[in-house]
Amino acid sequence: MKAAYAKAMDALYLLCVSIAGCSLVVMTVIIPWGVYRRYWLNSAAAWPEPASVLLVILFTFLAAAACYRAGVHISVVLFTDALPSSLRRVVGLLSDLAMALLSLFMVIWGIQLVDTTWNQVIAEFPFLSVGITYLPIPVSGALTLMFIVERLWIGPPSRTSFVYREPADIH
Amino acid sequence: MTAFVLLGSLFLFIAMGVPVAYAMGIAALVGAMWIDIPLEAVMLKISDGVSKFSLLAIPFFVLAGAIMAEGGMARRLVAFASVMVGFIRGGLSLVNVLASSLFGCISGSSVADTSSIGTVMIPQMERAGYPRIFAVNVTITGSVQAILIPPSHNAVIYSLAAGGSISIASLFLAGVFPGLLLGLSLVVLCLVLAHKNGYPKGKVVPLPQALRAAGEALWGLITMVIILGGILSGVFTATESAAVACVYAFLVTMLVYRDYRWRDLPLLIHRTVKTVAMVMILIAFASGFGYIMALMQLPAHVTQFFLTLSDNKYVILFLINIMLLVLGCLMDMAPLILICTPILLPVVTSLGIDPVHFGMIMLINLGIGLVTPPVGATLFVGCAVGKVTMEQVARTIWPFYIAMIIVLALVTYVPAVSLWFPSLFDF
Repeated sequence: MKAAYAKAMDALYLLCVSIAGCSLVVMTVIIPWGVYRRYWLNSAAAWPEPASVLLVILFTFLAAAACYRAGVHISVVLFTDALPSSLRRVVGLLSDLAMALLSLFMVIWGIQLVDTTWNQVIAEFPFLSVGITYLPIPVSGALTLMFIVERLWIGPPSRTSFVYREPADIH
Repeated sequence: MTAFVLLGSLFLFIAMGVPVAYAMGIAALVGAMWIDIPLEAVMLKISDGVSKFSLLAIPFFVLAGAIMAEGGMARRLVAFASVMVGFIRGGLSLVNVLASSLFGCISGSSVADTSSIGTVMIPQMERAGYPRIFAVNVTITGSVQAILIPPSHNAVIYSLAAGGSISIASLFLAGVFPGLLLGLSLVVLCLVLAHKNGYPKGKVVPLPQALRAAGEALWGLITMVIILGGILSGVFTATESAAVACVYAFLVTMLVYRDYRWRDLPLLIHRTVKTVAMVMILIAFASGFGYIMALMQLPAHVTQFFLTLSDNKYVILFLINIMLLVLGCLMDMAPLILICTPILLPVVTSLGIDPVHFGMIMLINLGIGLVTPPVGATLFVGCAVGKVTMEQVARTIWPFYIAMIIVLALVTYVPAVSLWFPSLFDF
């Protein structure tokens, strides 16, 4: 059961970073494309800018959940490191529970926000609901919750996991 | 009391080890419940925090820097710097500082600078007879230039934290002279230490080799021309220039340098995603936190508090410098910019200090924090790359801290160091 859950979290992590990575690449391509159209084709495109803003919201919230699993978020360990190991474990547990609580808030109030704005449309993309803009918040909250459950139940991914792979490792 | 609830919960959760971004989110929710604001409004602000086009400059600058760093740019800049200053006594330490200045023009990140330049320079300096600890100290302090010299993504974060009213271009231009001044102060220090300790002299590089090194480095340095030239000429916005720089960096790395393999690109993107996301989520939650802070009128209270201490701007700047230096020792740069800017900016502007000038003061302060124990991201990376302990660095790095503090004092009390260059371009 534990192994299956960890495997599912591996797949979710991969999905998060893949979508975030693709968003980053697409943003990197469409903005210069907008510049190219403006100066070389003399026909300014209105969509690259709002499309990039939508992508960066998706990028931020999905990748932030993945960052929790990879343990790369900026945190201050100065005070917890000074604690005796038993107390450190308790504080670590409380810290994860606080994160879980925030994630739960993100799910509940994020869904409410999506619901409230679902019937409005984005001016530049009339076929898209404004609710889409806020959807990454509850999704990120739900993903982070699942990663927190993994951490509390199974522990963080093993040090050899692909989650920690760096470009330098392959040279 | 309301301010105590907000700041108290923030510091409590940070001390518990909750990631700083999420601690800001939790504190914002606690604050919102305390003053009875709908939590939906906080969620709206959190999303709005990252819904800004100007913010996109951050991922693009990080990506361009990562492509250049992985694509062998550091090695080429070191070769070029060796041509320029390698033949002087203590030359390799000067090469290290100069390579950091040049690499700063591309990466905008002190940590990236330390890992890229340090990997090349520290072993090279040790082989040439320099103490390894000296090489580490030069590398980590030299890398702080990257925070000031454009394109600095921390300058973009400061601009956003200030409410987006300060132009990114003016901050980029303002960072040029403080960055160069920091480099110059380290060069002077390295020369003094080299003569005192008898560090070796390098050889003059023959002209054909020198030209080849300059040519190879030029490809990378054009990135800065694209960024600054594009912004100043009005051709691009800062975000567009960053995206164009990414595409350019990619083309140079894959088609000109050809040191990087196509199949390694997903890993580079993976790392960049992680680096960028931890900054972006900080900005998102800081936006919610800042919203609650503004509703509680916390910046106004802090301004009042500072003005009761003194109405002399030099005294206030001195106090703020001390505060930022202490905070910089305890916490990372991006969260501190996001937390401190909305609180301190009204204080300094009420005393007639230019926000661009204050931005430079803040960047140098927090840049020093990156190389000071116990919490210093650049210090950690430098120790790991140089295989030395933090205690060894702490015992020997004092002359470098003094040089940096002198530069901080100059930037703080001589506004022209930051403001003269932007004024040439009507900023």
